[in-house]
Amino acid sequence: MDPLQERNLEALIQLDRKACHELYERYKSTFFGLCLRYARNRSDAQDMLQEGFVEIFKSMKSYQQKGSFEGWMKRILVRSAIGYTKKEYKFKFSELDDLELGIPASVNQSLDSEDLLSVIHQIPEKYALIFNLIAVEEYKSKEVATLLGLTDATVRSQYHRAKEMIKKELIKLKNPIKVY
Amino acid sequence: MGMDLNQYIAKLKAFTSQPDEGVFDEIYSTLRPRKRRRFPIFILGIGSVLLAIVCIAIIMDIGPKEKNALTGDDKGIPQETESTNGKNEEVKWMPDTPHTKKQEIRKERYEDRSRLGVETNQMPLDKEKPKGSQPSDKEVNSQAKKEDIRPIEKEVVTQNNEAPAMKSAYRTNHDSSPTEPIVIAVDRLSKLRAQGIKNTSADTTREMDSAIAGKSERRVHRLGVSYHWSQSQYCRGQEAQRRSIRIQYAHPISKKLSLGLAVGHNVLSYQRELNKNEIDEYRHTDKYPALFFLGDQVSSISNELRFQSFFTSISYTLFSRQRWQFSILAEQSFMFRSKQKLSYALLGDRQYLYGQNIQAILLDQTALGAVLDFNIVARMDLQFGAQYGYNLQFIGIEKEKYSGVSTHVALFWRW
Repeated sequence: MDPLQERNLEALIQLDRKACHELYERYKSTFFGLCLRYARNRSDAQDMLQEGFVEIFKSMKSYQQKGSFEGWMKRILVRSAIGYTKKEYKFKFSELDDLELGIPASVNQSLDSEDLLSVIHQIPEKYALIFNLIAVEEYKSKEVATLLGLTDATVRSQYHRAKEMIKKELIKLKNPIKVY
Repeated sequence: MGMDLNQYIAKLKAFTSQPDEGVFDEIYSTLRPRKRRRFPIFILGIGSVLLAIVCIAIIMDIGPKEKNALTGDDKGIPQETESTNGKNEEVKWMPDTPHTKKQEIRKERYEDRSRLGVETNQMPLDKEKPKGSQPSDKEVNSQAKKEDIRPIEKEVVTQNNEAPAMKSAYRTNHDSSPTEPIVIAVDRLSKLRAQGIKNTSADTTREMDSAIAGKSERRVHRLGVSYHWSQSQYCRGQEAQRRSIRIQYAHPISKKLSLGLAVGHNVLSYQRELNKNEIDEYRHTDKYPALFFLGDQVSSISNELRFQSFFTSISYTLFSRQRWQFSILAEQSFMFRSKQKLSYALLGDRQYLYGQNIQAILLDQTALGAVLDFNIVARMDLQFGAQYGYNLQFIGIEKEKYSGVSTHVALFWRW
């Protein structure tokens, strides 16, 4: 935890508006980017961000000041995002899913024109979720299995399938992302 | 292609974006209810103050009577009278039932003659009838027939002609002809005794005097409508206007105390200019939520709050005359449905509106004041009043404090 948060931790616990605002301003861009990866559109991402920050502020008392403060907040935000996607997109994980072929979900491309996000939005939500958790957030497959209530084997299998889908989508792009 | 995927993941990790303005406001407003838990404690405090006022007022209202009744040191009928042999004897009073029909009195008298001689109403027990002062049955009945009065009650007066209370009433109105019956006074006494006042005290004497003088101090219920207006101070001497119209009911607790209940519709509004220092000061507070992201663009803010409220009050009558009375009161009101509209005037003739509806019981105003009632026609009173009120309002995420004097006029129908 850096000096800014240490100084303000008590104020954050007391839900002081100024301290809360400072924290929000500091992390809003990073966390909103994270939410956009999980959400299907900007509006959902803002709702996700809102719910995540509410959870973060409410959980301030339980922060043990061990490890990275940002990592701690990100874990709360990711859990909140998982809850939101499960609730709003109403998909269910099944052990049989890895036997099925991935069918792209309907995509509202007009809401987010950025290529980065359009690629991940092309694949079904449940695959995108696992891809995000393992590839981007760097969760272990066992952790993801615990979070989503799946077996480790299923998670790994679905992650592999998700990667294949992403690769296909990257190829499909008319203007593929340049490799630097 | 594997390389492309890794690059893509790296870009995703680094991806950031700016959310819309106002998201933090929504986050913070979701968190705010945690802080509102102090409300019940505050309401409890106000309730305790009102309860204390009620208790003090009740003690002030009934205290002297009880004291007089207990000590017997007033000018009323003494609890102990000196007997003919010089010893102090306790006077015991028989239960009394007021009679309203002279036929019943006569019937009772003729059917139980022996009882009349010894156990007549209010006759002290173990006390001999004073010779010469007690008229015979025949005399009483003939007197009743002639004057159409209540013989037993008249008898009481003559039997207890030493009683100061009777004397008081007697002196007040019958100095010129002591033999005339003091029917009105006795009737009043009879009623008071029927209400449970066994011992006649100074207060009773005054009531009898009032009754003789035609003054009635009976408890009255009142129903009316009132219009209130005020200029309240808020935020460094600036002013807010408040208007309200109410329907009120006053329920008598005693002759001088009454409990008031009312419902009303209120409008509270103000407009204020904001300079840069004030904008900086309020930007991170709950006072003007949108100021947070509107910032220096704001030139002025107008706030209009419309709400329904209910009022509880307790009033105590200090002075009462034939046509008017003067009372003091304490009042606490609560708003139960409110609608707030904050209008931010921005530079370049633009405007930003922020509105919200609150469906909750919130604290409104605590007030102390005085009222003057005029009896304009039969059963109709016109009331003028002035109050000093203090408001502490939490409307959604906005907090406001007001204080100031309000005046009102009201029209009451009483029964």
